[in-house]
Amino acid sequence: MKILFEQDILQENAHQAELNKSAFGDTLVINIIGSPGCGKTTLLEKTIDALAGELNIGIIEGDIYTAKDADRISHHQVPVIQCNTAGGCHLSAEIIAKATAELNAGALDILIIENVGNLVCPAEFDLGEDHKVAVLSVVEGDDKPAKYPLLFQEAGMIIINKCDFLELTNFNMDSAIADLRGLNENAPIIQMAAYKDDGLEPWFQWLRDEVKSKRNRADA
Amino acid sequence: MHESSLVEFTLNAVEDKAASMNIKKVTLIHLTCGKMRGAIPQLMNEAFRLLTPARPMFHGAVLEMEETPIIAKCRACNSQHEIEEFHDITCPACGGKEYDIISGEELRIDYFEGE
Repeated sequence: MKILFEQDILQENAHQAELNKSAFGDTLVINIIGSPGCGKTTLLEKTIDALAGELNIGIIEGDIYTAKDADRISHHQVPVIQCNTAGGCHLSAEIIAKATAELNAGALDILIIENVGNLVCPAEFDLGEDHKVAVLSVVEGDDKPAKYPLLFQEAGMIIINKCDFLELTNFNMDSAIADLRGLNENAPIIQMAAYKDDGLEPWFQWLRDEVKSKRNRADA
Repeated sequence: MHESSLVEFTLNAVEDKAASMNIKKVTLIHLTCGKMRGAIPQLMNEAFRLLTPARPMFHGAVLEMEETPIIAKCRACNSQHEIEEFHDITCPACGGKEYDIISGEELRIDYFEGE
């Protein structure tokens, strides 16, 4: 017997992501995705230090193993939950549902999820976030948007990090930005060197603006 | 590596549907995956081989996966062309640079067979 199905493979995840969206309420939820070592955790630390005085921030750390990133974040006095996927290469909406319940995420202004370091898999899985943020560091090479298009197409914000290394690499910024714009004409692109505190302000301002617009949408 | 998750979600969905129709054994599952989604057919089959022994409903079942190319439609002249690589994309018909992707993003269970 042949049964026509015509169902999205990820429907179960999409359904849970919708439930997560409701649970998040008017909290802005950001899903940060990038390769291992592109600077995601450093970006988080800088963001907490800059904004924790004005906004309630909570963090979910996704890693395959260890709680090293959550340890780093816990020194910054914000609530943090570590999710270990034990081999899994991405977070799923179900994992986030459990972590969200523990964090009381609805009481936060921003929930930032640092996904497992990987340019491919996390882009597939909707967690119920408002925006995916793609982080690309110049040391990875300017060909990465063309090689891993889905993430950069889906991103609501694109960060090009470690720009202080530009002169030491053959990264062609014009070529990278042209490829990014071909994939995604709307997402802001911010160049920064997070570790050096250089170029971060537009990112902070974008977060402040997005928190406000999420609240306004929720109030409307 | 997300192939194992994709196969697991597929098995969950098919198992639920099959159970609701009183189907005891699934013999074939047919998927369509767009190239944009980065699901590698060999890895999908490998994940299927590793995940099905623990699920009796799928013993002996076959996974078929159809890959669809990434097709762009030029905003200037509406012609369609396949994208092999997302670098310096130019419409071969008119030289236009702006396009919309109209195919290649599928991730779908089309049908399954069972008894």
